[in-house]
Amino acid sequence: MIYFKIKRRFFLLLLVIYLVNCSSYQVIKEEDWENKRKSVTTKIGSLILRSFEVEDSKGAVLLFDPIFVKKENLHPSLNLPMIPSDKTYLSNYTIYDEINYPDKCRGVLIPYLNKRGYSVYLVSPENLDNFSLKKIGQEGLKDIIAEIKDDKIILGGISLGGQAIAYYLASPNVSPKIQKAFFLGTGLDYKYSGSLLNQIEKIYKKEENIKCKITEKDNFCNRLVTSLAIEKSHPRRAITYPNIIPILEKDPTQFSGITNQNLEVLVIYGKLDPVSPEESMLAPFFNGWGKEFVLKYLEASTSSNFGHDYDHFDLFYHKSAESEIYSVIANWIGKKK
Amino acid sequence: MKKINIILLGLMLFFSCSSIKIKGENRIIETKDGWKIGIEKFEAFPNSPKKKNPVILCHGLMGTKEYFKQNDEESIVYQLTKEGYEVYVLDLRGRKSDGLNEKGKEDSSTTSGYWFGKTYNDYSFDDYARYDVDAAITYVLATTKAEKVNWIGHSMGGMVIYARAGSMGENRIANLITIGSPFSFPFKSKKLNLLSSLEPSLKVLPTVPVGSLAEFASWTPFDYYYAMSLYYYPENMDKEQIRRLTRFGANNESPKVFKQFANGMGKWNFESEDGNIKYTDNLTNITMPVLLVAGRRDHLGSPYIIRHVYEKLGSKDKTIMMISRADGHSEDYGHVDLVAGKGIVKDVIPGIVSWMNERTK
Repeated sequence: MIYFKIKRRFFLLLLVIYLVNCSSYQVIKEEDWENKRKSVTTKIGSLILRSFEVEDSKGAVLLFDPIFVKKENLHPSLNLPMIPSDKTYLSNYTIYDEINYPDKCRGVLIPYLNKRGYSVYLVSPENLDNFSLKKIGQEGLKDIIAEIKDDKIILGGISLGGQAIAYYLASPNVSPKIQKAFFLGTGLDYKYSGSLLNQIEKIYKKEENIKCKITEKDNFCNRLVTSLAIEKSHPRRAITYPNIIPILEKDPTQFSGITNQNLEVLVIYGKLDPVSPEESMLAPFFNGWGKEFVLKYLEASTSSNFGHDYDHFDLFYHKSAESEIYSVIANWIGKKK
Repeated sequence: MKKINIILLGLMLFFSCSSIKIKGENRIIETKDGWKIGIEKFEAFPNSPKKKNPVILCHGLMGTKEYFKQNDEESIVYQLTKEGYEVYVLDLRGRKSDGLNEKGKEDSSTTSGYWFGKTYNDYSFDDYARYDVDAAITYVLATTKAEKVNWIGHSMGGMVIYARAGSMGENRIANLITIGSPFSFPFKSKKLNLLSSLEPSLKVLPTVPVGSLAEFASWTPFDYYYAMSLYYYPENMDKEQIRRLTRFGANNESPKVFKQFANGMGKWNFESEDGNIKYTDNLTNITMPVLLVAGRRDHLGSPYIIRHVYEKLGSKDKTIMMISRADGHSEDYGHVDLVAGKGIVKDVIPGIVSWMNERTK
């Protein structure tokens, strides 16, 4: 009987810890911020712009849609309906119903920034069959940026989609509205032996966006995106699969113009990320150090006193991403230049 | 009484640590500045296809040659001899072997002291590169009659060649394999910051007592995870390996060497003690084939720093070999487990051997 009581108390204690833990970073309640924002979808050229504006916005954050990641991981309202081509490629993820913690305990970037007073604009290609990050960055983004009314814009490159942001920042006519830029898991320089690009070239001969087969357990793409943290808590079925690997830039000098901009750049990489490993994220900045341009970096790892070493998907999915990573992004955005 | 006996037996088993089984021939060689340092020779397997260039293995900062052997038949030393390489495992100055004679017995004439004596803990990284590496290569070439050696350096054991070949004109190395070897420390992680904050205490200490502390730790039942996770990924090392590593593989370090590393923190260049030589910039002078082995979980030889070295090297033949799950290995490797971890026979050594074999006909 005593044992039973102890056990029950123990479980109650666990439950309390769990609930406290899940709600500890809800700064503004869901319904409060839901009333304060509006979501609008616009088509500009071949790009889709989704606006998540808040009243009395402290600033605008323009994110380029990650190609790999299911959109609702950036914002819960983006799950359905999708445009048909989106649906074709982005509806196969199995991560949602498989993870043993509720969605609200997971890191979701756009609401996080909204709740802290920032309007967020999410850009994605209209057609995932035939898109080019280079073309979007060099041609498409300027129209999007012109569309945004805010005076100051922070650009956010997420996953490999961030290469589009990098193309834009390296182009000659960057809008003076752009104040800062951050890259969250965006590989920029794959020009070295054994790199992701190197491996892709060995397997896939054609130069086109690669569609990965999700059914093959040991598929190349599967190896890239497995999340150790998720796998441990939920073996096998919880693993997410990418649908597309976009064409990656072979010539990293295409991005070298970034360091010539008078910009603050924040680079965030997961220690275990094989898609956008640290060596591909920081290489473009090796020579830019000490110029006007300022680089900040955040290594999501135990070495930085994080709870674990992050891999690619942890940057977007892991429940600790809000407290350990998104909080850093929000603070960095808020700091005056 | 029976219970006490059982407890005592349990404690003995718990703390027991079998010694390293594989042993070579110990030699003491003298450097040009008068230090006597230890080198251990391992013959190639009798029936193995003999290779042209002998291999010198060199340990890292605060390490000893013992950790290259601690996995016995699954060690890099054993596996290389099996492949037909004659292997020489070097102890840089200030290690335990410099107090032994060739029979492995204590020899006061070769022992270095902390404060006094002919040789004591007053040397820098530059001395490793300038004198110890030179003595080792000279000795091995004279002994084997080979024209060149292959050098495999773990961590600082690779850095000494980056410094020597890049800034001191070394041309007796055929192939260089560096394992988790950084050559600059531009960003300080919180844990590295903590480590470098110890630097002021070096003004009063005669030695950085890492080896002594590690040996003490090996006799305790704690795992010191917070500190150790900077050095290795615990999943890749079993308890016996960790115990051997801390008991045999760690060494006290000269404050000057430690200070040189601390001074390099936050810079893209690793410099000589006096600051006159920018070692990292001089990597462009290196033209030999280089294999850079990196561990995805390595917090000391971080992959981005390995990439930085790769970009700086003047070699046309250079390759990064990442040891990670995404690259088909069983685990993501940390710093020390790259050479002393439990999976190296499958994950690390084959890549090194095949790369070296291709270049050592």
